[in-house]
Amino acid sequence: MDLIERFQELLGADAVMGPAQDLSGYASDYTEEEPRNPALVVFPGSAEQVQAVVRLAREEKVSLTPRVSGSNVGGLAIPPEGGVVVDLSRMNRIIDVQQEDMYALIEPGVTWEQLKAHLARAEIPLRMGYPLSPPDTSIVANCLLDGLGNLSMRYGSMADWIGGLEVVLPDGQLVRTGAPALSDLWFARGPLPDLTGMFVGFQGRTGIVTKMAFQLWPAPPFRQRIFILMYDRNGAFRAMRDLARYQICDDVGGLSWTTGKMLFDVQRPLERDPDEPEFFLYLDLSGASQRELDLRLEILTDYLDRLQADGFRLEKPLAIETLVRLNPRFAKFAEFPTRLEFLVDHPGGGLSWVGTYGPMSRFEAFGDAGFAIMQRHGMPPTLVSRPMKGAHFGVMRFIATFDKSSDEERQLVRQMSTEIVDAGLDLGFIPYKTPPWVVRHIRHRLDPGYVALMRRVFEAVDPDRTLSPHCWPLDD
Amino acid sequence: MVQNDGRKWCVALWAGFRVSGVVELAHNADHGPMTTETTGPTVLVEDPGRMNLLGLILADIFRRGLQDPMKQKRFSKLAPAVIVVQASGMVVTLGFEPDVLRVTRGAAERFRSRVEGSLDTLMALSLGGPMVGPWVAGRLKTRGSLLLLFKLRPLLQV
Repeated sequence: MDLIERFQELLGADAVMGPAQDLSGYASDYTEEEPRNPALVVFPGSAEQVQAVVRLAREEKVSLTPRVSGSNVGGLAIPPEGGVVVDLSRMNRIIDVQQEDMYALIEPGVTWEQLKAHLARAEIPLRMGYPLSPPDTSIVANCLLDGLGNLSMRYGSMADWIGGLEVVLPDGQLVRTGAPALSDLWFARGPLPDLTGMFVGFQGRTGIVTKMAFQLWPAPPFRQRIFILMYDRNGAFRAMRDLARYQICDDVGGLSWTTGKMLFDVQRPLERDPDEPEFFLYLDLSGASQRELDLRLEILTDYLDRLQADGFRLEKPLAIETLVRLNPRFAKFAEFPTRLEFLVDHPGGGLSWVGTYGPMSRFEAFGDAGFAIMQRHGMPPTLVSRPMKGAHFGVMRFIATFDKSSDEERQLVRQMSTEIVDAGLDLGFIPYKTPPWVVRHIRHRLDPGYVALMRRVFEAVDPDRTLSPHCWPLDD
Repeated sequence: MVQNDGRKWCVALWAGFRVSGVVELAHNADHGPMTTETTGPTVLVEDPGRMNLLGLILADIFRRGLQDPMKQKRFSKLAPAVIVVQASGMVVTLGFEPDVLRVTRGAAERFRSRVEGSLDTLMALSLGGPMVGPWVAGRLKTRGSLLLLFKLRPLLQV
């Protein structure tokens, strides 16, 4: 019996795609990463089936790469050539929402739009933060890769929102980490030793998560989203730091001037008019009452007056509703999750970025370096940034859209991204969702003890290198 | 998102105006002029890769507005005319020709009218705010034909 028949015997014929079908959608992602073709794609429907798949793969000595929507922009979800993709999109049950303890117990295929709709339908007054990724992407994947969302300034990066995991290990064993290792409720990663961390940021090398508790937060009934056009990005960085400390906003983020133009279908804005705003600051404020919201807005107004008095030029704040009235295109920023077509559906179809977490004290320096690199390569300097966890750190994400069909453009993007990674590392900024090519590039800069420990973990947990062996390539 | 309608802050000034519809822009990857196929006049952005935000916002407002036959009629009465618009330092020239509106970055040397104000003030105008009050208060400055600017105003409104 060949490989495909063995998987079909395990899961059923309709849960396995083989060479007779078009698997090209699994061979690449948005980025400049070269395509790699899977041998098979399997669709388990339960934790038990994932266990069986893992045991069979180990026996057959084939690699497994978990995936949901495949939108990851670092090549993580592209399998090694000839590997098996474990498409978890059929495992999309919202198993439970514990309103009092504020978490949802979900499977890996659950998407942002799905959970949002579920909470709305059930009239559960809880909310979550959303990444800028499309609405049909996986919550679990974002948490396990320690991504971010629009409540990350207040509540931290997404791995902080995990309340516990159920994981299939590379030998097929099923384990629970966090509170559910001992409690019937999945309320926190602690207080036991934090084995959840063994599956966060490891990019699937240590196990395939089959359930996760996702922490939710109170949804204040009064909310306002505001945009402020600023003429100096350093003023925007200062505002982000200050406002994060004031704790009056749920979110403070910034987009560079190019995004405003991309929204108007200018795919590659080449030049900034010196008199036009350089950064768009977006803020979310909320309150349990109108009075609370008004007070927060009053504090914000006072702050912006002081910022102007210090010489920073900015326009009056605009409510998102006003912008949408002016131009319906701005509705893309009115409700999250959102699909930003100008990033993912443009001619050429390529999207790549260097996303980093790092010290907010050095935003200005990294902004200068990143902008200079992008402009030197003829790329629009597109930057998205945000304070994280009360400004203990921040995210700086330099984004490039490009023509995937052009070898020249793909090489240019990779070269540019490499330079940005280096510039960021020199300033202490660490790439998150670290793509394998970045790991190869930076591994000599990692602490040797850290590298040795990572290798010991991989060796102990997955000596046969069954799970996502292309990720965290520390040995090559 | 819950609106806080009672608040006097930034929302109230522009409340209550409706946007008529969306026209998708045709993208020109080689950065040639950006045009849109509409039933009305063609709106053409010169060198879109270098156009400022003001020009892109205005072009989009015209594109959507010029779907309206009434506005098409008003447009036909404007041409030929050159109007310079400046908002918070950004400057664009609107060249009204029969069936074509040409949006160019920067100020033409020769124009029939020029209007200047903050981005806030011009956005308020687009959303139906008054023209005379800001003009009297000096927040809106004009040169050249005032009559032409009054003819332009309905086309600028969303």
